[in-house]
Amino acid sequence: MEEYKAKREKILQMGGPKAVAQQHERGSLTARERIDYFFDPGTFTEIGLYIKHRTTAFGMDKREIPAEGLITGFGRVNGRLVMVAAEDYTTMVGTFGEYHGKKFSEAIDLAKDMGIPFVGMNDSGGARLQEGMDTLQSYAWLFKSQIQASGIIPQIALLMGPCLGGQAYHPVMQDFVFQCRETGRMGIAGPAFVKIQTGEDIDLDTLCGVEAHAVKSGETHVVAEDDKDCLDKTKELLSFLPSNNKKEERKLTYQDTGDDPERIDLDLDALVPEEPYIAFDMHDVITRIIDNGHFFEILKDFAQNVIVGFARFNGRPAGIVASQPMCVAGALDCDAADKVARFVRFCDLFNIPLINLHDVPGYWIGSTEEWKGILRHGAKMLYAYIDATVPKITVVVRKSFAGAYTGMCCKDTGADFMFAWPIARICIVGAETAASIIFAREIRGADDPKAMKAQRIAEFRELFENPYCAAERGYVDDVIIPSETRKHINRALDVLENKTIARPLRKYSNINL
Amino acid sequence: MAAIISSMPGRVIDIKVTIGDEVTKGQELCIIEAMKMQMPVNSTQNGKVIDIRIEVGQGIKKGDVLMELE
Repeated sequence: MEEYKAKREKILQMGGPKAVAQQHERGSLTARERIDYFFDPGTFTEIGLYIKHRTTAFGMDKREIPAEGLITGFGRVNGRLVMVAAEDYTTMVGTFGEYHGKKFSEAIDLAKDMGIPFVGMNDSGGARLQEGMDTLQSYAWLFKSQIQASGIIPQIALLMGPCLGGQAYHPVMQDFVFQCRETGRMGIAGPAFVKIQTGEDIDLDTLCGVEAHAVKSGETHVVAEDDKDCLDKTKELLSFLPSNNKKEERKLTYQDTGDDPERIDLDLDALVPEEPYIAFDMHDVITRIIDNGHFFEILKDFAQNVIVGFARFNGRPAGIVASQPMCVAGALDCDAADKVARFVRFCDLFNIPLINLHDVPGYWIGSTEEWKGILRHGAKMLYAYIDATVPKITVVVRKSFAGAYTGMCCKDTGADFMFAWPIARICIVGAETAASIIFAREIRGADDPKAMKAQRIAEFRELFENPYCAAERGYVDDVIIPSETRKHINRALDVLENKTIARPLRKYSNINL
Repeated sequence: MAAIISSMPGRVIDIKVTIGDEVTKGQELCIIEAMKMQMPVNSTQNGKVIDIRIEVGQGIKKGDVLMELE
């Protein structure tokens, strides 16, 4: 018993009081403190506490690394089981060696087999180079485990300290990446390596900080102010997600929100300007139709021309995909298409219905986006929506034109139900574009070309720029009063609750990755 | 000094300030039209307009400097 106590005590002290104090000075919690804060009190069960590396090179045989710098185990978050792997920066700066990686990948394997979400709390000085090939192979184990679990369980990566090189590859492949503003740093290589190899002079914060990934690269989905905020936000996200991809799991995420599913919101009737060229904030529509206005936004600072995130409708979690006319005209560019496509696929994998709100003039045209590959990036949205079998409901709030009408999920590119507000303009192109092409010769030859152009635009607009042309063909199921949008969405979700779709077997569609 | 940069390509359809104007953060400086939308460009800070590099009707690219503030 004495030996048991002594051994255990020593490991639980992690890197010792000095290293723990340094961790606190950085403004961070230790790995064990993070675990304590994250799980419901007293529910954490640790696995592999005694695991030790087996390296002898470079004096490593004398090096003790408690728990191999990685604490793994499972516990309950708001009553539901979650698996965790938390890197311990206080022990050999959380370096990733053979057995550290083995613990990490085995935790994911277990989570996959048990069908419970996985959360990685990443905080590591990098690969443990003293272990040579064994460390490299260990990354391969981890990548394999992660990818084989992808689509079976939700995986969330928290960047709570440095995550450079190999330590950056694995978080980015998980479903959601959270980054702590002051301490989380992710990059394929740090500044020193960049300087040597390329001559570029850049500091760590600029290269790998929050601005780099939440705004520029689109790899960080959620920014947190500190460790506690990060763990709180993770729990909030988990509340929307089923534990695994089995259809019946979804029901366990339903909550009684107390918000009337048929609640009318009269503000909606006057909220969106009828003039299609005046911007408004789509968040104001979203928060009025969802339960209690509670919206968990994903990638808030990246590709802001679209909004994606989670909300509830009558207690049921749903994914929202919405145009944002406040930002670059709400038109879809390459980054927006990537943002939407990956979100749609996540929701589909985990049986989360999708609600799509259109005010979209089209995909961005012009050399910048053409040369970035807007056609192939835009195609990802079509693939994602058409492949998805979850319930999908689309509401055309104002504009829906051209390729973007199909790319943001119309009927026949995936929507089970399609509604339009009375001010909606649904058409292949806007009236000005159409008139200037169809009647080009007539306008040029007219006595008053300006008047002729205006007349033809007005005719086209009258004839086609409305929701009724689409409704007459059945491409819009109903034209609805804005204030009643929530009611229509909830009734549609009711009838789609047990939607099933049969498709011929194939490995997967050849999405334009 | 701060540059006001266009976040999208388009055409300038209105300029709301003149050189020497004191502006506040969030104030509308000009309006760019593209993709059927008229997008206001708002000031990123408080300051004085010291240079206007655009004219009404001019085409601009994403990343172009529209104005300089002091």
